[in-house]
Amino acid sequence: MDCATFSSWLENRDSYDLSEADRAMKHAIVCAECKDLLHNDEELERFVTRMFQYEMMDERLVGKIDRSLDSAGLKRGFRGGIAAAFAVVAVAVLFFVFIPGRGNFSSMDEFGQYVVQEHREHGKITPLFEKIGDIGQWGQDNLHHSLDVNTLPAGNIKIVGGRICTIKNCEFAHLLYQDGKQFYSLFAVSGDEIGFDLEPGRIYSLTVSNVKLHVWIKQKMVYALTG
Amino acid sequence: MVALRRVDKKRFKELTYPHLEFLYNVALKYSGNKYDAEDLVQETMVTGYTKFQQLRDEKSCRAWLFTILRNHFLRERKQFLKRPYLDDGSSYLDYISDEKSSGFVDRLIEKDANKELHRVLATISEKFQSPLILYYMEEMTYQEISKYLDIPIGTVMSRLARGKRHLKKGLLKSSGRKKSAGKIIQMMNLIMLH
Repeated sequence: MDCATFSSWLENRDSYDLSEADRAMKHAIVCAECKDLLHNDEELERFVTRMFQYEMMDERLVGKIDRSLDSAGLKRGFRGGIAAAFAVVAVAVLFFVFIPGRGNFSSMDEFGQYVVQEHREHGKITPLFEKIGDIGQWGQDNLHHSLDVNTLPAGNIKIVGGRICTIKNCEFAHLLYQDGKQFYSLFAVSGDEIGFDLEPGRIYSLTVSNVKLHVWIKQKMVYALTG
Repeated sequence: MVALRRVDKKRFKELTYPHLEFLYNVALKYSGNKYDAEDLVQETMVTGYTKFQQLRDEKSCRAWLFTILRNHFLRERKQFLKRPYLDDGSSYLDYISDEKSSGFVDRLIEKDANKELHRVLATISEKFQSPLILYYMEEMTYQEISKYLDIPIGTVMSRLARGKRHLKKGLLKSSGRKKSAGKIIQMMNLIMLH
């Protein structure tokens, strides 16, 4: 190693391979000038290290930080409160703008589509239905409305059981009837839950997706019977 | 719904306060004065507090706080990044080789070495400052600096080499301006005692 290479190594030690250090040290042993350079650089290195030593921190800084954290916590709580209030308002707006009133069916057709769909999806799964003794009492217990199903616009159908289901946020009583292999669904819902008018004493007949449906209202309860 | 998670302040303090001195000294090296350093540390702690849940590994708390401090420094003091690069291509060894002995150290001490260090550091870009601070102040290895700054080890080595060159040259230049040394030995002893 010559003096120029030595100087280059000395100035860039951190980016040189360690093996270079051995060669540099060997050169420094035989070259007095480079030895002095190395000695001085090492002294400068020690000096710089000393200059980088920790300086005392003002103890009051801890108190300042404590207060900053308290203030940050308050701001955070305030911002959180605003965020929560905003979220509540947003949810309320969504609820009133996009969700129709509870159980509001815009028409009998819409009402028919929902109950027929429910009949198709669940109207044959007998294990879903619990056996019912007194239908009036069962309705009172489960739907908080008494059911009047003594006279139905269908022939010799026998009750299998009943279940409570939810259609468009409305609780319906879903009674399952059977005539041989044929199943019939009778849905009952409070008249307050629907959004269209029915004439008392009249039975409306309609066909929804090839399923016949009879709809009527009796004592403020709306009934829909398939088949 | 908005979930408002509560930060455990006690736990935050337990984990972070032992690193305050470290943060303060890094901030001091970055900013060059105690007032800016204190501001930087406070900003760092508030950010750390509000983002405490993002700290996954408690063992890496020191590095996490360092990163926050560094980001604050970079974000809020962008003008520091545009510092002149003060490299005229000459070697700092030229200044050493003019000396018969290591008298430059005495003159540096005479000139209030800490101020000189801050002054020279302030002329160096952050990408060289950070490795220098971690190397000299924390005595970190290349590997540790690489992890802290999330840069390849080769980059650490080259940045350190270049950073040291700028730093040493800056210090030696400043010592060379004023050759009339006063009570050098006395001051050196004072520094040593301090």
